[in-house]
Amino acid sequence: MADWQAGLGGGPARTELGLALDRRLARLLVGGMIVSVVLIGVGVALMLVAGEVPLRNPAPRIDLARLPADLAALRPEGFLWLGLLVGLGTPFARVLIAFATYAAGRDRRGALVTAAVAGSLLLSLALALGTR
Amino acid sequence: MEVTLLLAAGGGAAGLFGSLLGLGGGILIVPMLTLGFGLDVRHAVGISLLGVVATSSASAAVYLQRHVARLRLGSLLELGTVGGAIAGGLIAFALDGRLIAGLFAAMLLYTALSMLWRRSDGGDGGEDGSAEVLPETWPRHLGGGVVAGVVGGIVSALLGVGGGVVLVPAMHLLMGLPMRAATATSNLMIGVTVTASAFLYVSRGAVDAFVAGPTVLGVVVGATLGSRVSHRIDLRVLRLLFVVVLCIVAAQMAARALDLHGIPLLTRG
Repeated sequence: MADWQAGLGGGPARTELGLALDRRLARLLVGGMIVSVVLIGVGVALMLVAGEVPLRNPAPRIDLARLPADLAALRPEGFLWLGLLVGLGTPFARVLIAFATYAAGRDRRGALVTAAVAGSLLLSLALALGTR
Repeated sequence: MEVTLLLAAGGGAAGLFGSLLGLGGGILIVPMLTLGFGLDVRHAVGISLLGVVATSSASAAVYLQRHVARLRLGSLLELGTVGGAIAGGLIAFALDGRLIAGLFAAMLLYTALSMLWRRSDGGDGGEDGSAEVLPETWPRHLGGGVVAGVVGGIVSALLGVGGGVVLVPAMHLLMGLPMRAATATSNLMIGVTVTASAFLYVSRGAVDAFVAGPTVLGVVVGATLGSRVSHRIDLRVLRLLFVVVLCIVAAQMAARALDLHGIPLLTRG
């Protein structure tokens, strides 16, 4: 318990595993954000080229089934949605990598907590898909 | 084309000033989209959440690289914030948009008063090295922290902000975390918290990709610029001016809540 509490604080007792995990997650977050912003940037550029007007009524909804076709056809909405989804997926991936690292390091408490957070995110995704 | 560029510019301004003043972009994106572009408040909140995810990922990465953010504590509190965000995301679609606008106006007023208080208190505090010294008895009130996380998650999902307005004081004052670590850990948690509610907003059609794209792009560019120039700018005057701006925007959001709002800059066609 003392280890877990020290780890919670991230104070003097921080482990090498924790420090390495911090660095790995930092790279993941930066990478995810860059990919997301580049995709959104391409989408916005395509919007300008295609003369797409925002604030249409009603607003176009996400259609995951159409996403590959939109990307292949260089339609702006495909890139915009993919960029936005990558942005949303990045913190989720952060939780999964933290879980995998804790599990591999046999840090049961860390693995349990991050698994519960991942489970909660999956619940929100299931609610989102189930209550559209 | 003009609307796309205006959205990007508005997002850029929200990101820039949010970054300079330590507010996060969300608090400015929602009024910009509702008052400036005539979006329904729920649609504005959905788009704001996406902007918040992007900026929080960038700043959380910096805090992790510097080992200031507390990953374990953040993960534990995320159990509360994610639960709150799911509840808030569901509640948001059951509430009248005018009530959400009213709540947002109250939050803007609270933020303005907090900025005034911080100014008279001598600044943000916690940015010096001494803030890194951890008290011996912490973390205190872990259960209370999780409860505060639930509240922060609900606030975030309802109003399209990161929830730092609840999380940072809870970690600093209730749990005894140094201010800088509380801010860093809050930033880390915001991405996961906001993702939970953003799923609900996206799936229910409350996010328009053609509005979200330029806005989020602008927010990221603005926030990046803000983090690079903040040390060259005297923030005292800017902060004071911003208190006035927040009060005016709060009044306009309150007017919207009471159905007294005027004609927005641009409207859906």
